[in-house]
Amino acid sequence: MAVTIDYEKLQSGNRITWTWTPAGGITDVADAVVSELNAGYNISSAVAFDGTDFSNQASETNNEPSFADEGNVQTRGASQYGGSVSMWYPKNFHDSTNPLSVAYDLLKTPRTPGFLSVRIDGDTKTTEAYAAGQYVSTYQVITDGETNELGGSEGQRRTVTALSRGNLAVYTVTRSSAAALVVPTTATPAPGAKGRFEATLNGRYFGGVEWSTSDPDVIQVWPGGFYTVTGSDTETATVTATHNGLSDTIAVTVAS
Amino acid sequence: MAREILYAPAASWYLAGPNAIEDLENLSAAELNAGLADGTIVDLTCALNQEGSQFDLDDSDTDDSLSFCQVAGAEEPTFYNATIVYEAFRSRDELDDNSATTAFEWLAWPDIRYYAILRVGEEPGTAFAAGQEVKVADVITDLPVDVYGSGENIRISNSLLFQGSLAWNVTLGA
Repeated sequence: MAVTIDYEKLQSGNRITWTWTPAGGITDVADAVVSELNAGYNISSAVAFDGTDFSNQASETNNEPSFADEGNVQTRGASQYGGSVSMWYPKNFHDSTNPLSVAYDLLKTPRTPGFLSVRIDGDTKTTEAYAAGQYVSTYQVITDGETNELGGSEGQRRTVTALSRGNLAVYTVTRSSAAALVVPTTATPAPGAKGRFEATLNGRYFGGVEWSTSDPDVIQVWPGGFYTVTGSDTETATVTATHNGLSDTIAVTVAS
Repeated sequence: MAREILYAPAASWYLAGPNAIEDLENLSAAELNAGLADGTIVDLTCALNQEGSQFDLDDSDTDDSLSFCQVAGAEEPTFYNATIVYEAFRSRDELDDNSATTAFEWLAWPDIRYYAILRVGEEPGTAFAAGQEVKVADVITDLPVDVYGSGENIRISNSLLFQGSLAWNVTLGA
């Protein structure tokens, strides 16, 4: 019997929130503070699907095989992001009640530095303010060139290039109070057991954690939280998760 | 001998943690099924977009240096190359425990090492069994890329970085 999908797909309409925060408005892109994001400008209704291709891209890669490899080994080089953001012109300039005019004023000057944040988090709509526990990606950029789509019967648009400033955080989790990285307090796996520890950041699953063990002879851990129990009979070790200055620990006791 | 062609759905896509497979040269159904049971292997088949996902063995690097006993033009394949991309649909309910949210959790952050596994020839959702054919490649995740367009479903794509080791079209032992 054929399997069927067990979820409803997320459609793009009204579910991708674009926020512009002027330079200095975000302290740390990896620490998504709700008040900082909400102090920025929600430009979603000014941004057109057509002509917008700003995103992060696959990283630059290097092929660096060792003497122990049989194939090329791709290592992740510099992160790459950037692209264009296309926005409609407002019918009237200098109109603070028109979001198109606000977006125009924010981004009309070439070489404007700031931050673009993109929120894609399930059914959260573009009109909703940021709240704690949401996934957001933030990119530090500077605007550059502009092309214009003028004439014709469609809305008049300008498309602005946003250049990378080499500072991004993809799928971090927003917070409104103190940041919290949380892992299980204890674990009592059986000898030889394999599994995966999970961490939450500000209440949501977060995979960008570094994992370490106090004793690989008791439990080995890998990026992603994967573990294999190598000890036996009530041996103990501490597994530590860290991210951006935060940490939490799991007290592991191997089952007897 | 009947001439029968394989038709979809006949491919299953998995990711396995680095601790899920002990020896790429001796893959067994029991080991892979154990990984599915303990959570170190996940079946992402139903979450992945057919058009954006890719599991290909590219042409190898080659060396055309010749000995004095060889004829001109002889080439030897040297290093393997592979292109493996997992592009998963996003779930409308991000808090639900489903195959799309699982795929998001496994693909949304960089620098995590996996074995990418593709099984061809069996219906998705069925257990691994001896005699089945699989392709396995050692990879790490790159930064993810959000993929969307006007009137489209949102996807997350990860171009997995090949780490040099693979087992291609190998038969599972028991």
